[in-house]
Amino acid sequence: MNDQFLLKMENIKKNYGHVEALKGVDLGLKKGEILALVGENGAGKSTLGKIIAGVISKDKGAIYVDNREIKKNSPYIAHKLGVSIVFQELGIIPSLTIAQYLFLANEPLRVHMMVKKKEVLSRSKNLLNDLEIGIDPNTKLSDLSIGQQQMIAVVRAIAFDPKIIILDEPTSSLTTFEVEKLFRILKKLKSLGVGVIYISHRLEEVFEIADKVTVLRDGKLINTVEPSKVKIDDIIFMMVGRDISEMYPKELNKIGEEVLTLSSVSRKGICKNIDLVVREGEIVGLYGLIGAGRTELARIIFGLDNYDTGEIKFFGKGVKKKNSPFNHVAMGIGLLPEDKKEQGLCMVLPVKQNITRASLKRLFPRWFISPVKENNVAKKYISELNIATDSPDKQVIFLSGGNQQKVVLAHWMCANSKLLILDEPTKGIDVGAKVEVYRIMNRLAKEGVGVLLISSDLPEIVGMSDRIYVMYRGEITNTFPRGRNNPGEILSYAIGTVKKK
Amino acid sequence: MRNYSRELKKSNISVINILNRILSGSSYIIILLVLCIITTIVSPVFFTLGNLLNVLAQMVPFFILGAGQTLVLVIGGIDLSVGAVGGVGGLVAGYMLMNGYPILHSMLVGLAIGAGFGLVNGLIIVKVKINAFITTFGMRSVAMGILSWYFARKLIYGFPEPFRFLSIGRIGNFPFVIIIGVLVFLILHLLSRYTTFGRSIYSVGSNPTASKISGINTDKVIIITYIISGIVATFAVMLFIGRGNTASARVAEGLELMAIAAALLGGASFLGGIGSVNGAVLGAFILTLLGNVINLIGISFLWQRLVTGAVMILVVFGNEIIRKRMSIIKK
Amino acid sequence: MGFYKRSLINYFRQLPAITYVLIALIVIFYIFNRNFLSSMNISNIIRQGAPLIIVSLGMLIVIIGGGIDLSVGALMALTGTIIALSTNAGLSLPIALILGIAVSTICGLISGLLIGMSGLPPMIVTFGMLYIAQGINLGITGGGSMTITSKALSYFGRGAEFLGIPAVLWVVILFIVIVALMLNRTFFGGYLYAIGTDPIGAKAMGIKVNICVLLQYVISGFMAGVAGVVLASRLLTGNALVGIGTEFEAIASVVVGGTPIIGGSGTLVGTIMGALIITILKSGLSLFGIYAGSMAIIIGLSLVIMVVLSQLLYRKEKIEKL
Repeated sequence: MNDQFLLKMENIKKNYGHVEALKGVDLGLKKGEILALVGENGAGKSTLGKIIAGVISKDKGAIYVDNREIKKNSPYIAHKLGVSIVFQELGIIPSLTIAQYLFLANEPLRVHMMVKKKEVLSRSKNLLNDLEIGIDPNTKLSDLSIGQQQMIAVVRAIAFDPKIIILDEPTSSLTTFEVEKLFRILKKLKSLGVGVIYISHRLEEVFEIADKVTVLRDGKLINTVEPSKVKIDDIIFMMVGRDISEMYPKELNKIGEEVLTLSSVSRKGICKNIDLVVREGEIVGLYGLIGAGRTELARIIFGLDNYDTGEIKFFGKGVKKKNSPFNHVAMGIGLLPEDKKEQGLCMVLPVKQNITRASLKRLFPRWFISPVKENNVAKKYISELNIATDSPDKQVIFLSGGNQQKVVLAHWMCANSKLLILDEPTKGIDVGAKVEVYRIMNRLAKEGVGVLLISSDLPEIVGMSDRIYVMYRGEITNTFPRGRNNPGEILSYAIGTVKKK
Repeated sequence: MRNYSRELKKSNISVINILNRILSGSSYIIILLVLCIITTIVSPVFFTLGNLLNVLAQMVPFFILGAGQTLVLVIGGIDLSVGAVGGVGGLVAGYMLMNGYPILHSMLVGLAIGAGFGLVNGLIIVKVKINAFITTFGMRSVAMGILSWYFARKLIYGFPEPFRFLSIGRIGNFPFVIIIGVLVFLILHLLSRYTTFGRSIYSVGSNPTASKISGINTDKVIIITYIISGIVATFAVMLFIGRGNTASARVAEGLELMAIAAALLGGASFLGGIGSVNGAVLGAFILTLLGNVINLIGISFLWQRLVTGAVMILVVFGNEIIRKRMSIIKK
Repeated sequence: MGFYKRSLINYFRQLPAITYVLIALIVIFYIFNRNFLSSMNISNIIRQGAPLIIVSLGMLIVIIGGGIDLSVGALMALTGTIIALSTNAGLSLPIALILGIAVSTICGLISGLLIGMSGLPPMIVTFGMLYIAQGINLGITGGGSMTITSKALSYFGRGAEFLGIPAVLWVVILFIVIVALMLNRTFFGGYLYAIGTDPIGAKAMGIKVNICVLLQYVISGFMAGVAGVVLASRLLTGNALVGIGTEFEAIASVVVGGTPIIGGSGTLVGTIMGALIITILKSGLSLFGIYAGSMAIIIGLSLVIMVVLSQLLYRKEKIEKL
């Protein structure tokens, strides 16, 4: 049976610091098979794909290509083995032409340095024609639409004559027509014996094209099934099913006035007609997939980006459109950005400075900083939030992810925020720290703070929110109050299986 | 669940910790030690009090330049125009002094010019969003142009005594300029460490986005820092001018390198958020010592530039190694 | 052939601003001084501008790949000094030239090693190299100038013509062709664009980023050496102040020519036009009788303005595209 496997992965483990991204995953890909990898954000799909392609290394486990074990991998080795990958982020180089890009790092060379331009051009033309893509290979990539660029990225992967192709979210920017074209290409590859790993959120597409579906959840392999033998709902259940109640110490609070009101907020290309409300003491969840527009919406609310139409009110008062973060902070609004390392913390600065950063004017109205006072304030939050650091002077870069997140939370608590927007607050944090963050969220809500929780972690949202908004492609497609939410239904709205209510 | 507040109460002063801090933070202290050893070998009389006072006096303008550049580096930028801008401001002041204007007025005008250049630098960097390197490099060209055009044919001389006292005057045997250095140090040190503004410089430098989200007016902070840099640079050049009785456009040559080297040797980093005014003291000291050692060994001053350039690269190299080691520890 | 025709037209469509500026400058200067377009003046302009164009070619390669080289001006000067030193020491001219270019290339190699292999920031390394090169230059010349007495070199720089075109221009054309081929026709060119756009992605594609970066600076050093030879052939001196500010002019040529400072894209034609604009500005101004100092101010200012403008324009283009 073994010799039928093009690619076999056994017990793959991968850690990022404390976080276990892959906890012993098995995968088998046969010749001429299209295997879909599905799972929520953070389930480990992209990580697995990158390991196969040699872009990142596995910590434990074995990889076999054509029955030979691959002890060490790298982009070069993977390339030699016949593995090709198209990343979620495409990797397009705008200044090159299609022909140049297709054969980059794989050029047929003449006299040692020069590229055989004619050959490259003709091979490109042939490739494009075979795949029914009628674009002139001399066109610059920057002149193509994103959908076309995505197609070309796929073509490049194919141009290498690979044995195995990995596609990570290949249809995120494609029109239905282009998706059809892609599927025709994939079917053709199948007939040639190429193995395809198709990573996607779009379950309907997966059901249309895949021979087998492997479901990952939290870095673990849940099951591998044949689409013909199951229903979409079964897959969703596998992606999501977890014991929700224990992990989420949610308490119910007294709900007060509206702290945040959005009415028909729109911005071209980002969001459309957003109506959203957060009240004192509430934890409101905003769920959706990557690209749905949630972080962009958070930025608009916080004043980092502008919006076109609609109205935003804080604590009942409307604000001017071109508002800026300084006013927001003064008003008591806080934003915990998705990328805490890049945007939430000053890594080289000590904990105490990170905690007081937004509150300097308030704590030290006379300009001069009293080190004693600063230390005391920092120590107060360190002990209240249980931040694991030997001293307030330790640079934040040395803290673990969970503790770093607590520092950011302390920062906003110190600033007396009444409305907090948390964007993926538990991303990349281990389970223990997650629970502590939830406790802090509860405490904040109890004190009357309004929390907007943006998360891709469905159980987390379901467990912690009083209400849930689902966002899909820039629009709010439904809301779910607590107690009447069913994870499967929420997910269907998020991936677009069910359109707006 | 551990209670970390108990651990906080324990003080962590152990010998190992101190050693760790010294070694991890400063390839520069090691360089300093090495230099001191070399100096003593070359010239055993070097570390006498009288000589040391002279060296300290030499050091002051370099410290001032380095301190200003440190602030700019901390904010994540760089100011390549310090030499030329300082030269313009300083020479204008010199020109006014030559023509009998009151010292205070002349100096203020000079400093204002430095501030003006700094303002333009800051505005271009922040509003037009041109890279600090290119902007200040361009400003340097412009200022150099002004220097060579306006001042090339003029000789500026005849500075009044009180002005020169700042640079070369002594109280007994004690060079007055050291007092000035201490004053500038106090001002800048207090500003950078103990004011909200100083704190925001470090925030903006280590992470401008996070600072913006925290409500800090990053644009304002950056512009003010460049203004400070311009003022400080001009002041340093005035001290240089006061040393001699004449001044020419050549006074500005090579100063930006010295400023950057002093800042880097004091622990500042191009990454932003790292560096201190105290460090600039150390950096300026190393530079001055280096210059003296080269002289004592007999190498012509012309090679000094080469050595300084090489030292700068070495320091950055050392910095990189330390940074890599830190990130490995982090993992 | 169709490929080239189409891209030429594309270039001109994409650079209307610069082409018009260039033409406008020429016209303005011509109006004020009929001598501007005399064959003697054009010949002068070419000889004056040749070093800048050559250095800009090297700078273009570095900037496309996402780097920057601030040492080129000093390397140019150092080459001249080495030539002077060698010829005065009795070495033959060809050897002197080779030595000069070799030194400059080696400096580029060192920069490239530090930047490509050790990962140090290009600005700092090349800035340090600038001062090292200047330092060496000062050390050799003692702050003064050394004259180059080679008649052959002088003829090359000041008089030689081949088919009616100054020899110097032939050198420029040669290198333009080489660089054009390199960017458009070799895999190296493609790699540079890739590295400039996304160095991590380029690595994931299997491109050996370290080596490419190293080569960038070696090429830049080499070009600086060649430019130094051309410059020395005209000035016939070696000293440390020659060519000061050329690095900035080269960067401006590249940026004004449509290459963003962060790299990832850029055209040869644009860079050449940028270099021409600067050269014409300089020579035009001198025809007006404006020299040295004020010229420096005007050029400094206009360069800053041009860089500013081109950044604004580039950003505007980008936003509209999205």
